[in-house]
Amino acid sequence: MNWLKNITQKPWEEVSPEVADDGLAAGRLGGDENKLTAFKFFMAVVTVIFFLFTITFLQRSQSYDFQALAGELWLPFSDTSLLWRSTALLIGASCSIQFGFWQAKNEHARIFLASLLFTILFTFAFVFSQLDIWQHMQVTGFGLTRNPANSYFYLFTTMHGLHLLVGIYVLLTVTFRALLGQSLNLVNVRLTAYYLHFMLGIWLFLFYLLTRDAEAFKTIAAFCGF
Amino acid sequence: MNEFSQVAIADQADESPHPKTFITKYIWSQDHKVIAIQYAVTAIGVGLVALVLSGLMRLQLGYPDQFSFIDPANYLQFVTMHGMIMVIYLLTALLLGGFGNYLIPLMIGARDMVFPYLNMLSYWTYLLAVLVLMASFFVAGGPTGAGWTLYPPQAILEGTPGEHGGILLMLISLAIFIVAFTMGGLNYVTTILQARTKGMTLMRMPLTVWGIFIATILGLLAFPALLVSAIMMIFDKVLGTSFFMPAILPLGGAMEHSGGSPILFQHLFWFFGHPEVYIVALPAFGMVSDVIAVHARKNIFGYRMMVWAIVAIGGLSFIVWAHHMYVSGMNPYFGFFFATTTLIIAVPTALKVYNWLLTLWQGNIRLTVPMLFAIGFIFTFTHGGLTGLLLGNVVVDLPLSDTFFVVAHFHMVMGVSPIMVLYAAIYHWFPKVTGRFLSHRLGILHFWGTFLGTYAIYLPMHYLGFLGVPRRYYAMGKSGFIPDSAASLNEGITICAIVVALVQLIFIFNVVKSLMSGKRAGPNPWGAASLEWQTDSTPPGHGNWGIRLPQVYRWAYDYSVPNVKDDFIPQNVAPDAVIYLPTTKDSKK
Repeated sequence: MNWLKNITQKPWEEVSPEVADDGLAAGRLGGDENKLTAFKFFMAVVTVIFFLFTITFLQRSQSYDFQALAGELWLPFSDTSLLWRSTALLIGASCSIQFGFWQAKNEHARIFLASLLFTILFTFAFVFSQLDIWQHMQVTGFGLTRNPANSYFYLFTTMHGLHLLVGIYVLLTVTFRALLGQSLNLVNVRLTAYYLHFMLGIWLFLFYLLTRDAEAFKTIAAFCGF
Repeated sequence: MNEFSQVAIADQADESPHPKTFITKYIWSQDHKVIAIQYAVTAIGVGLVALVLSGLMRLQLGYPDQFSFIDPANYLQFVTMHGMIMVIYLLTALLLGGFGNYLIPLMIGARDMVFPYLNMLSYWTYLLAVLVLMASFFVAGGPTGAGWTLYPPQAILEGTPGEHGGILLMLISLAIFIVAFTMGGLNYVTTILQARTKGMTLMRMPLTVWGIFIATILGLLAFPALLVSAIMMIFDKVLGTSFFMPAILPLGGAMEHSGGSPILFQHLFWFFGHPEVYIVALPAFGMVSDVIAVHARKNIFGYRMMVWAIVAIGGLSFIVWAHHMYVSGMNPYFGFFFATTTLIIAVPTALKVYNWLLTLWQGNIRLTVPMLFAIGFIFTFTHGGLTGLLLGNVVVDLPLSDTFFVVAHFHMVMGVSPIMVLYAAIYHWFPKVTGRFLSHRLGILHFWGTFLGTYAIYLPMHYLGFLGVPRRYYAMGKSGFIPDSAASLNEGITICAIVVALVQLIFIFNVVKSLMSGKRAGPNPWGAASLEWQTDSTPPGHGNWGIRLPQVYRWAYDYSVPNVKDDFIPQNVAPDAVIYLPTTKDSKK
């Protein structure tokens, strides 16, 4: 209950000859801790963005013209093999960056570099896999404006992809620095790993959401009060 | 040693490389103070554009059809751009980007923001957002005239001014602004949590920092709603989706949209929009608290309650949004919930007002210009807040919602009040930023002109609202229920508005004149206890604190402490360095 102790302090009574410490860093730590704090807030922002998109999706799922993307055989996500392909690739990226982080911690520079290259490969492969799903959807007649569920599929994957690009940018920066032999900032690798795990989590959630049938949406929406 | 460096910042010597060239010092600067000034100048510049737009609106309302360059489409564009610029690009940017940037590191005893490069990037991204928005004045069709709330479907339909380029540039500009804000916001919260100097506990922070801190968290969590709605509306406009667009039959022909929900947009917009009120208000609450304490030479009354109220208001601000939507056609049962939460949020807000008054009570009040503006704020905020309580009730809101009563209410609470605090803050901190005072005489003139002038504008506007004069209308025309005197009142309001706008020129003149030849201020001209006044040099140099960071021993409100020689004790004065007056007993000896 540190926070409770903090906010119930009576600062007008407390004049300290020694340094007061509220347990919240109070200028004790260097830049790495700052990155971690900022990262947590950034994750909160991204979570809110996807949460809000999801809320609108659930509300829209109850309108008369909404048709789920799974359920009937002819619907695109009744067969989820393409989505599983993307998922496997993102899991690959997530695992390789985590493995790379462990290697970096143990100062195995070469294996670390190889893991980073694998991560880049997996991440780009995921993006191309997503674009391939778009192509597949277009060809089979499930374009952007055909149905609100389709619109949301493109919207969700676009937003997820754009957020992933941020991760790719950081990943490339870390990799170039490693390739150039610059001193390694371990926290950057750690945060990149967290970010990719987080992107995987978001994707798994979107995967689950987009492959529900109409009945499931009805239940979820009723649960949410729509 | 683990992966984190465990060196205390306070023990580190100042090793930050000081910028040497003009460009790195003043343009691509990473110094929080320069960035703050960049933010402030840009925000005030774009705010002046919005002020001119309001003048044009008033000309039309006061003297309908007298000016050939104002047609109905222009009028709606002025309304829209005025509202959006003032709320987002002026108030949010100036309070957080300007004052947040300048004051956070100085008030918590840090050398700079924790991510200076990101901070610089935040400003330039903000500038890009402003430029994109301004560009909409120059595209075919002009800026959007959808109203600052940008409600679909009309925002993107043919017939609304700026339905092509204007609305798109507005949405893109907002998205860019949110990116800029997020970069800045991450910096502010991280700096406050991580870079406080030794002894600066959370509960020793000045209320300004508390206000900025909670407002930033609100911004980080609320701006995504605006981003989400902007992105979805761009999809609807450009790609033909139907997130917000229902089936519409313009001129008898069906559009391609169907099934979308305009009310969904309103929910998203106000889920951002109401916290936005507090994103502006909380930093203002914090700053006015500090100004009042310093100029009344009294510790702020109920510091802990003030902090808790800021936090409570921040939390509650997320569950009142639909009080903006009583007339939207949403489920009527929502009205009861949102009316209740709206009344509840008034409790911590009223608590703050009482505490400001109790701080003034028996204080050694110095009627400086910042203090005048701060007291003026208490008036305007109480006034605007009380009409807010009226409008928070569904039955009162329904008939008044589309009238000038609402315009008067939100201008008192969201327009005039933050502006009063901004002026209080500018007059208060100008000596620290520039090393010179703003002219007291010109300041007095500026205050009374602004304070009385804005009352002369907005008090009668409440009456117009009660009469039923509708807002957003280009011209009233003839109607059975609005007396002719309403037109005379509108004319009077317009004259007052022009006078108030001209009075602001006094302020600009004062700033320019004082910058060149203002009276020199010492390092701590108001005798303030908080840390920003204790810097080695004024204005503070790069790195703020010389070789070592200050150490904090007390809170920021030790004013008029009994038996102490000076009437304030700075935060960084150690207990054994405080000079006490000889007690009566001592003097008898």
